[in-house]
Parts: sequence; structure tokens; C-alpha cells
Amino acid sequence: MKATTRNVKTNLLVCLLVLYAGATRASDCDLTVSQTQTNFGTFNRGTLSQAANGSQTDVIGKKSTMITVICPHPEHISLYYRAASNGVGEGYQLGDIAHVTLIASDAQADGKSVSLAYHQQGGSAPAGNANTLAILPNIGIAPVSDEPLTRLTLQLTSIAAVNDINQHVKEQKTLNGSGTLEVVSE
Amino acid sequence: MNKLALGCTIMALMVSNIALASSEVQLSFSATAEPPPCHIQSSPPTIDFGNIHRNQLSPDTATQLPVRAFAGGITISCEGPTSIGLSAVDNSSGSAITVGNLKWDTPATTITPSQTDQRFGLGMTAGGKPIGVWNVVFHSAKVDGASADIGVANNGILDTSDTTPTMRNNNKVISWVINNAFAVGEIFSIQADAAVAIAPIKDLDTSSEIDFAGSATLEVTYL
Repeated sequence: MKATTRNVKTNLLVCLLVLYAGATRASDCDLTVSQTQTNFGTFNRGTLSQAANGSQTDVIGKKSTMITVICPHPEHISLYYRAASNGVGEGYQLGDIAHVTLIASDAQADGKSVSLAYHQQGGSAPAGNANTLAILPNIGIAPVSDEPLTRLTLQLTSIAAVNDINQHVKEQKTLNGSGTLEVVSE
Repeated sequence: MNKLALGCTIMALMVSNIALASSEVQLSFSATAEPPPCHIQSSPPTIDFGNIHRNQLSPDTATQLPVRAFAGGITISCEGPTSIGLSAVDNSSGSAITVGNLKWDTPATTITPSQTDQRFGLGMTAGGKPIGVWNVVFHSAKVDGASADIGVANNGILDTSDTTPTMRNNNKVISWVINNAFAVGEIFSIQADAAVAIAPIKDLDTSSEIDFAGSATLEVTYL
């Protein structure tokens, strides 16, 4: 009987921990992205070299989309992007020869412009302060505001670039990459 | 107790699922990579060997005509830096004679009868006899104005054991090479000298005029 009581307590504790973990990781906010599928079109080394004024560049293309987060009640939130594989530098893999860098900017919290800062999940308060931030693997970005919010909008700019400007492409091939954008409530 | 654990798990899953459904969005990215387009800026004109009298031909062995250069050579312009080669298709495939060498003095090159991948045909007589054999030797290769070596690519890989700068009919590719690697550039040029050999007279019906014509289709291959 004594042993049974201890087990029940243990299970309740585990249950509470699981629920707690669920509540901190996920969010009841609604996340909308205006363009979830981004196609940078067809490129070759010729079009890459024409992208800048005479000088060669590695950029395949740049696309922008809007992110909107609406929460049912005021919350402190942050955004994470999780991809199966990371690419070069701050980027995420795009096929075997390119990567995509995600840039967040022009954030507005409840209609007011706010800066953005990096936010480590389960860690300390947001650090840094900028209008434009690259979304790094497994590091959140959060609006810099003491007040909880119900609506956050920001621009997400995707920049696709080749890993190696000297990469030879012998035949046409499609490059794909994907990941999950996630809103997390504190 | 088991029920408690099960209930706890279900609750956790429900909470988790409800939250995930509204707070995550899958983003996907795509692009299509392709080689930079290349265009043949200049291709050589036809070489006309004129009339050849039967007295100029050997009765029992193949006779090679004097080597002639394709005026102007070949120039290919690409819209971006890349590495390319040339593959060839014999437009008179199966009509090359199987006797007689083809020889060039500069660069010194010889194609023997056994090197069938380097023997291009000149068509057949009305009686169905092969008329001759031909090929070209490439030289004076340049990439963006700089001198380049000529290499042979086999399945996209530089074949360092095969350095004969001739056209191939077996999908091997003649390529521009600098520092033992495929050269990278936008303007590729090369000169080509043709050698033609006519079958022994004994193998031809020379009672009437025989027209011969050989041609190959060159295709740019990305390396």
C-alpha cells in the first residue's frame, strides 16, 4: 500500500512535468505565413554573375513573405525555425549546392514597431536589439518588449545562395529545402 | 495506476497536438540549377577536297589525302564560367574503312585501323563499299584567351591515360584542360585539322565517279 502511494505520487509528478513541458514549448497562438512555398526559379552561373554590377555574387534570389502571429490573450512569444539540416554559415540547406538564409525584420507588436532579439529556449531574457535579425538554427527571435502581445507581424526574407561560387552544374537539377517555423510562448 | 498513467499521457498528447496544430507552419524552398547556356559562335566551313583522280590512289592500300585545316576552327561562348567539352556523332556511322592509318604531323598523331572509336565514315559507294575514313586532330585550344591543353573526358572524368586529341564516336569528350583539370571559362576556342584516307582502289568500283562526304555533329557537353 505504501509502495503504491509513492508510485502514484511519482506518476503525478511525471504527468505534471509532461504537461508543464508541453505548455512552455508549444503555444496557443495562431501562426500564419503568407507564402509557405518559395521558389527561387532557375539559375546558372551566368545569372549569378549578372546579379551584381559586374562583380560575381553567390545569390540565387531573394523573396519576402509576411509572418503573422495572433494570440488569444497577451503573451510573451518567440519564433523558432527548425530544419533537418543546416547549411553554410547562418543558412539552411537548399539541395546539395546551396543554402537559404532567413532574415526577420520590420516587426510590429500590436501595431507598434519593435526591435527583435535572440532568445534561447528555456534560457535567459532576449539579448541584443535589432530591427533585422537572421533566424539561426534552434535559436528563437522575440520582439523586444516588456509587454505581452496578442498580435505580432514581421517580414521574413529568404535569401538563397550557392555554397561555392565555383560549383559546376553539369545538368539541370532541382534543389529543395524545408523546415518548420514555430511560435513558442514563454 | 495504469489508468492514471494512460490518462496523463492522453492529456499531454491532446495539449501538445492542439498547440502544434496552430503554432507551426511548414516552409519549403526550391530552386532549379542548370549549366550556363553555351552557344557555338563559329563552326568551321566544309572542306572541299575537289576531284581526285584514280591515279592518285593506291590500288592495294588506303591513300591519305593531304591534311587540311578547318578555317577558323570552333569557338563556343558560354553565358557564365563553366567547363565544357565536345562529343561527336558520326553522321556516316558504320562506313569507315577498316584498313589504313590516319596521320598528322603536328601534333604527331596516328590512328590505326583498330582504333574504331576514332574512325569516322565517308559513306558507301553505290555498290555498298565503304569509301574511306576521316577524323580531325584538335590543337591550339584556348579558354578566355589563355592557352589550354586538350584532354579526353570519359563519363565526365578526365582520362589522363588518353591524351590523343582526336574526335571520338564513343561518347568520349574532347575537353579544354588547364593544370590537369577541366578549364573554367566563358570563351572556348579550338582549331581542327582533318585527315581523310580513301579505300584501296581494289575495294572501290571506280568505273564511274564516286562522291564522298563525311560529317560529324559536335555537341557541347558540360563537365
